[in-house]
Amino acid sequence: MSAHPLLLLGLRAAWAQAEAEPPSPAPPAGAVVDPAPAPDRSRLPVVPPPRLRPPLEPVVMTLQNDVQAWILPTPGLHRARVSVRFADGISGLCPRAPARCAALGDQLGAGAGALDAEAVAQALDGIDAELRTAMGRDAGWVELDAPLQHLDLGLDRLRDVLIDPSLSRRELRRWRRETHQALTSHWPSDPWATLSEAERHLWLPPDHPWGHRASPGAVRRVRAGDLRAAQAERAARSPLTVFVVGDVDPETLRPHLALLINELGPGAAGPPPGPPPPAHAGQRWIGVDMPGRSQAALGLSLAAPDSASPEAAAALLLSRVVMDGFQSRINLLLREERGWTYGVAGRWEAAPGAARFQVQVELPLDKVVPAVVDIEAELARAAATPPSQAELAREQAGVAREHNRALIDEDSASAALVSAWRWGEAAALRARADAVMAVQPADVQALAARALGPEAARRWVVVGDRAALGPALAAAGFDVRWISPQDAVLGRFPTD
Amino acid sequence: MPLRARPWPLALALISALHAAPVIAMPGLPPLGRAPSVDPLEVEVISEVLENGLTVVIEEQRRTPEVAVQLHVRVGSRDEGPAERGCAHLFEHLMFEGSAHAPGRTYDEATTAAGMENNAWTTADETVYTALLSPEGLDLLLFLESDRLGWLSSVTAADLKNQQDVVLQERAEGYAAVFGREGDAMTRLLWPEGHPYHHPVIGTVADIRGFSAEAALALHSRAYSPGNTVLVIVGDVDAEVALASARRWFSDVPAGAGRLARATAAETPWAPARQDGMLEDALEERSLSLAWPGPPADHPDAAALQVLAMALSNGRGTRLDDALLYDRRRASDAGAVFWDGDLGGELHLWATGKRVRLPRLARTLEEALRSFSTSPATEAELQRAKGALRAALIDQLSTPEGRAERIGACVARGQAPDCAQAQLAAAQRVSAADLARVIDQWLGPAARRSLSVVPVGDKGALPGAILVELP
Repeated sequence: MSAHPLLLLGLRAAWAQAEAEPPSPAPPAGAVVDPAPAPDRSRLPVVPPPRLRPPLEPVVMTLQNDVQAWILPTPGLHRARVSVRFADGISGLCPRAPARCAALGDQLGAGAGALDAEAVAQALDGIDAELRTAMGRDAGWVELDAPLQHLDLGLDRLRDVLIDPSLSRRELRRWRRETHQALTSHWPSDPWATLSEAERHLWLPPDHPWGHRASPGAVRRVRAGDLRAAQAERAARSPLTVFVVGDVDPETLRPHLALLINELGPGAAGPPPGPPPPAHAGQRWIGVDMPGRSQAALGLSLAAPDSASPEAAAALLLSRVVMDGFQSRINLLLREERGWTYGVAGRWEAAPGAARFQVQVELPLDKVVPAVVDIEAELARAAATPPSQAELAREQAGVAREHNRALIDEDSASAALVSAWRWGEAAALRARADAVMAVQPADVQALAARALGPEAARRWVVVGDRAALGPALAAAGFDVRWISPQDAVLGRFPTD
Repeated sequence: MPLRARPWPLALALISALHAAPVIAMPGLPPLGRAPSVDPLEVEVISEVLENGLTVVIEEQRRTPEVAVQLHVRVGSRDEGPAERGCAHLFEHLMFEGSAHAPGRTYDEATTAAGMENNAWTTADETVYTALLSPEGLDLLLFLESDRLGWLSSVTAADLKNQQDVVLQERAEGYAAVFGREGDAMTRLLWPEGHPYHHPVIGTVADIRGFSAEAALALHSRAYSPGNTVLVIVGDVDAEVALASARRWFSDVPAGAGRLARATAAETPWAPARQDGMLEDALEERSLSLAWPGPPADHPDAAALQVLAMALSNGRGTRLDDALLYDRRRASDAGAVFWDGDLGGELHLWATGKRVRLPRLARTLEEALRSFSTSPATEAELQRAKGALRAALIDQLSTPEGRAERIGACVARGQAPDCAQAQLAAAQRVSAADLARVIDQWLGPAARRSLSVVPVGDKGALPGAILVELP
């Protein structure tokens, strides 16, 4: 569910306190001291690049049924996360009925054991714990966050959800209404949700293993019996892996994890390789008509190496130099030079089977065509010439700092741990970071020449007022096929 | 419509059992639950006021090898005169356009070259500049921050024009987002003309276009002085070494105008006045927000209003969410929040849905709110709401940047660095009777503001609602 904008008010100062207007600064403690000698401001202090800190050391243990538990001790973190990853997602468990799996992913936490959905929510709130369940294209997740002192109780709730979910008709009715609303009115009203969904569907066509489309009709037809059958199938055969981050002793945790997974299993052999990436060629444009909208949201996707590729480190740096971050070339050009946008969002989607470079930007209507010209110019520059040593060093320094921050919270630590698992070895995190530090400008340019050059396939999506945008795009030579927001969200394109 | 009976007994029994029982391991299992090795609510700082008035606050946090550095400047949109609307925020952008010894884009280039991340934000009450860095970069960052605090002399017409364009686009993107104009429209309804909170932080288009380089530098002279600023350093540093570095870089910053004189809450009163406004938008759904002006953050009732908002809406089993999202799916989104500013607070309730009737939605929102008067909050509801507030604070205090934000906001207001913890303690003392009392005292029908947002041409706004203009 999307947050209402008013929720952002909470960010203004949810806990701020009004000042008492003291007559002079009122520090909590301390004293006025003599001034220090004036510093030399004629040159910038020299800063050595951030050093990569010692490698993170996940502990890998094998439980019953050959189920592996990957545990990353995080000293000082007050919460722990326990995640159970099932190797079967929508594409493995419900390839012909994706709505069934989507519903199962949502409904696992809505009541379990002797507790209905409300009692589960209250029990979790009572110990400040959160439980999330989801079913993705290639995996299903059941995940608990709990304070250390209540981890035992949280694991009890997690075990209930894993072994005895209620899957009640009442909660399923709520899911059907909520999902139907999202697909038919909530998302199609939101230009950014519409853009992202259209780009995803355009990148993964219906015949791709991950190219399933949502359908309001299929959502209405999901029955509780379907969920129980899918759950039974998953419990009986889906391989699984357990991930834990927290300030915990792995050996103390071992019997608790054994009890948690009980008879579930078998253990997953390792991360799946992912399906073949979609084959794209040429340039394709989709326009999503939102009449009356004063701004346009523009998105571009290009094929990229995936996280398992030898070029993964170069792909990460190429993305950061060209499109991802404030100092990226496209952001500096469109925001700082042109003043056309508040900011460019770019990223490298690294998942094997769906890897791509992505650029998203919001613009005034009359700046869409010039922005496309600018973006293409930056892609061509990256393809033709290597990044400067300074650009590369800047992004390597950023990667190093982020690597060193991996244990800051359960989100970050968990992402690092799962990445290590995907790469197949506990020491992979540091090895990957070392690989990024070793990348040379020529490596980046070699990748850019293939991935961003004029021969590379491009998938463009623009969301905005067709009446205002259409003529300029046509005049610029772009063959835009216009669809409705509803069709964009459901992945219904003219040639499908 | 009354709220229907709720299945409390089971939940109550469960919660009671959880809180009453000690953590007992399953038979044969070693106990797992234990207190964290570090209490995130504890704040231990050293602080100092330099001769030029700058307050420096430092906390060592060694869990990760990084440092958060923040400058909290006591200036926000509430401090803008009629000819300066929007300039506190626009000025925040200009602070990245170069200073005397770090011209042009030096700030961004030098910080990112060292792997740092930087950002800034402006509210009605303050402007904050934040950076996250490796410990090795502290000297560089303090050089750059001290330089733009003390010697911002290079705002050119080109810098200004560029950032005017960026801010105009920031505003346009915000207003074009789903329900993106709602916050500013409600602000206009909540606070009367002339109140420091009445005008939007980002300003109107005319405000932003009309801003001059001279006005920018005048604002800098007035508000950006050491005596009006708090420097916070939290992270993997030796506090004494970091303090020495802060002294070295900031001691020669000119004292300037000193602490900014600001209106107090007592000097900026408001009168209860019911107002119903509306906006039309290119949407399929309708939305209704109800809001009431409330007490400022230092008022004793602020804590009760925080608890009330959390008891109304915090997921399944809270009254407003159950009424609109769970017991019956009448809305696609709904919620409640209390924001407490220096000069006043705001309680907001809202709900959104495709074919919802807004008058009926208004009744449901009101009934959920007023049910705490007719059917007092249970102990379980209170404990849950208080626990959620505590959890939210702990989450924020788990990162160096979150700690710096809390500490900086407290000290900039002249309070102790752990003032958020004091407010949390006040929330823990709130009773069911307190909730009923604050509803009666602050949230009466005569003070209610409503904002209907409907699709273009839709007639579904609350009766009598008047179009809100956002120039």
